[in-house]
Amino acid sequence: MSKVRKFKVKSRLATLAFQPGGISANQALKQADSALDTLRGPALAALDAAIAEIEARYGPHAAGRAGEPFEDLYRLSSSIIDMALFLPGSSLDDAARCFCSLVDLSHELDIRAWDAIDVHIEALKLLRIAGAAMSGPQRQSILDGLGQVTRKRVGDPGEYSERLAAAG
Amino acid sequence: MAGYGSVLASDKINLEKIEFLLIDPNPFFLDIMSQVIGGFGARSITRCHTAGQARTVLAERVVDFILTDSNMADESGYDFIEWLRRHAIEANRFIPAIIITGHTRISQVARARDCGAHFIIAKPITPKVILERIFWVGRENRMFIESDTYCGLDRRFKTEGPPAGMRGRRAEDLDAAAEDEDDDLISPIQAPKVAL
Repeated sequence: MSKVRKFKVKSRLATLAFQPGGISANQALKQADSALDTLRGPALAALDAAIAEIEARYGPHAAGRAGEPFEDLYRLSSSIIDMALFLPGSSLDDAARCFCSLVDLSHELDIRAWDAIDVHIEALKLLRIAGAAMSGPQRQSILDGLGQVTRKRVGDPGEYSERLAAAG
Repeated sequence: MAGYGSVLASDKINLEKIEFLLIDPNPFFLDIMSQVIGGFGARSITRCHTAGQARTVLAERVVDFILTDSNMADESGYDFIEWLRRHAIEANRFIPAIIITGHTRISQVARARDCGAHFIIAKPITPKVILERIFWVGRENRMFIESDTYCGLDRRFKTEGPPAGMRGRRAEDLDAAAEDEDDDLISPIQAPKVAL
């Protein structure tokens, strides 16, 4: 049996962050929100560029999509999640996360389900434009549909993950 | 001071002397995080796009807080934190580290729990969540555990011991009961909802 060492570490954060001075949590959040506002326009432009690049390289009209690396598709989908904080209530982040799951599982199983990819691209475009104006049930039905198409065409990411974990 | 799981609007924090290290492959996300942390009053923020760049920084100087993405081009954030806990210079080995993830790859799910990070935060981030976690880490009272298979904070926020009415079979069940008493004396802990 391995030897286990237990100990406490006092970090510099714990020592310095609560020293006299500083700012209140309320003020910190206001300052952060204000600073983030300056990035809103460029971030949304980058988000739109990511969706456009996904469609151009992996969409139904991309002639060379079979030769495009899935790693790039995963990176582009992830970058949409990064910037979705500027589109609260749109479920764009959830759809991008579904897309990441599809791409990740497809990569693991070496499957290319282009119809499932096309559905995800359309969902991203729809939620980008109209997600925030939709009702919760409308957005949820789109996300449910994405989950279903992934399970039907590639498999269940959760089940696969559990199988991997069980296999050690 | 408020409980571990709550941050009051009036609670104060001073990050002017804290050295932050941000790691993310997406330059835009680094901008977002820099603006958030800077808005909290941090003055020293180092940005890296790869785990390799971060390793170089950590070999040269001591930092106080790491926020890293889970998927860098050269290495996963989970592998990076495990390296930090095992092989970084001693002054950096146990610094607070948070992983921020948009999606956890299937091959990395188990690694997320075992890498030794303080917390894992889901993207898209909000300033409120980041600030809460900084407060929590600053108030952190969990023990570090170092063994052959794991190095990081105790993953149990609350040790409840064996099931009610049963005697524990392991020697450490007795230790855990004593540890609980110790924790209660230092600070009553309200378990946060997001944890490893």
